[in-house]
Amino acid sequence: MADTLNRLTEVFHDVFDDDDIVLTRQTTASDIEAWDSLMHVTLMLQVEAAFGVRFSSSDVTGLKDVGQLVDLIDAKAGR
Amino acid sequence: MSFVDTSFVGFFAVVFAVYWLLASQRRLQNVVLLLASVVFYAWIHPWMAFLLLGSALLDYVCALRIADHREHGNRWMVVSVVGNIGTLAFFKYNDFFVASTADALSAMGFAVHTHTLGIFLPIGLSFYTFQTMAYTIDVWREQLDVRRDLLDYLVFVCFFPQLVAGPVERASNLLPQVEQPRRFDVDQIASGLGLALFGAFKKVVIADTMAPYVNAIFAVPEPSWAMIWAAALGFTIQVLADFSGYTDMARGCARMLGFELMENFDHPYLATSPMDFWRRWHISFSTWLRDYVYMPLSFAPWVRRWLTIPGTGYWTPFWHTARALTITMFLSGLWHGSTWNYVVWGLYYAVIGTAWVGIQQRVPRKTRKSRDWRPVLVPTMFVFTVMGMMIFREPSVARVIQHFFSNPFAGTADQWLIAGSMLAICAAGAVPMIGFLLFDLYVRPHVQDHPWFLPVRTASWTIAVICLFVFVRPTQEDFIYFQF
Repeated sequence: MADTLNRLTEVFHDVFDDDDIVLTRQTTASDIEAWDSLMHVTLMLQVEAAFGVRFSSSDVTGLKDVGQLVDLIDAKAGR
Repeated sequence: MSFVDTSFVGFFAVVFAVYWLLASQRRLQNVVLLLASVVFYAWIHPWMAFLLLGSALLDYVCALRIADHREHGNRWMVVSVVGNIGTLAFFKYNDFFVASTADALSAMGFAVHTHTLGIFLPIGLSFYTFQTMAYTIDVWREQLDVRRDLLDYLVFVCFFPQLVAGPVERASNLLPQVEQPRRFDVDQIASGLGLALFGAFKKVVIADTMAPYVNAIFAVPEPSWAMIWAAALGFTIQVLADFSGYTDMARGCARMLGFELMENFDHPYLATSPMDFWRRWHISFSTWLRDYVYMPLSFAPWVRRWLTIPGTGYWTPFWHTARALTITMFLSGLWHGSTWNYVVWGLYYAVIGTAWVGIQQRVPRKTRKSRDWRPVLVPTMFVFTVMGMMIFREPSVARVIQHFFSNPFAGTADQWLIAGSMLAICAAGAVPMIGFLLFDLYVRPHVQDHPWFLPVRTASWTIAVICLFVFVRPTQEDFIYFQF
């Protein structure tokens, strides 16, 4: 799970073009200025590519924080 | 009955009084709200109240079916979407499709005799069908509990302050408020009254005063470049004053009844990019498109099959954005109206939005972060907004092209004079709008608790009321967004 969070942090650094982002399970979209709805879609597509998983639209609209995203990735990847 | 009719003031006063007399009885209050909403709507189109109730009932039944029989959930979701889109298509696009098909056929040399039905668009249809459809989709997605209380549900759909032109409320925001007791709070009512009053000011004093000049120039068969672009600038100011004024009145009236509706505008002309503009303009509609069109499209398997990165099955973010934005903005354009200029307008935002994403990816981060680019980006985006408004306002696409490519320096002395006068009117309209903006950004946050707040507020309300009496005209313009 810690591994997922670390790899996810790298994806965030790439997508938001900002190496200073520090992710915790409690991080939400309001903590990262550029994380809006359009970026959310881009982010989710990059996460899919990085982890080799597939999301559905209901998966990605229901997320409340990074913790839920980590759990979703782990569930999809069968970890 | 429109918000700026004197009859509405009387209507609202009666509803307000009866509603708060029943303060401790939420069910009775909701009965009052439902009756008031039906009267409000039937005042405009007596028979169309049945359409409103029919559309509401369709989604009430579909959502119940979905909740009770999950195994048939998809079927009932499709019934809701087809029912709503079908109603919208029939009333809004029937004539458009018939006329467009006939045009296309006659362009190919076929002789066509058409009969458009001359159907008129029931006011608010585009807004309330979207609201009820979203309710059903939320229940289907299991993001919202189904509602079994018909009265509460009908109040959510028919709530008159936001019935005819939004904000397109989400069930998750409005329904819980309908289901909770409302508290009589003088401060809240005063704040709602102020919001509604300045909303009326924006509409009557700014938008309706500019409208005749803008309309006159757009009606000229061959305007000069300077004239038409001055009018486009005028329309840019007018449409914001009109629509945000309407929204303020809707939110103000709702607040006086104890409801908080969602924000619809966040200073859209301060946007720094096309995406940013859509985050700030008609927010309730753009977030609707995001949640119910853009998101599902982005992850729908049938869309994902096209044009993925070879060998991976994934999209690059750039092409993903281009594709999803094009489809979403095309639908947004089509929602706005049944003429081609709205479609072109939607596609225009898709093109500049995609271009913006492309530019952003190519500019190194160091350059982007080296300084605050807003002083450059805001005026640049404003120019693109005015160009967008030109496409939005001019129904003929051929004329739009002509306006973009005509000689900027051509024009007779009279035409230059008209252009100059139009610019002066723009300035006169912009001054109060900029005043509101500066007040919102810099003054309001600091004065709320100041001892001077109350007298200054009373004085400003008095001035607003006097202005309303001075500027109100018998031939009031309809709200621009009523036609959508």
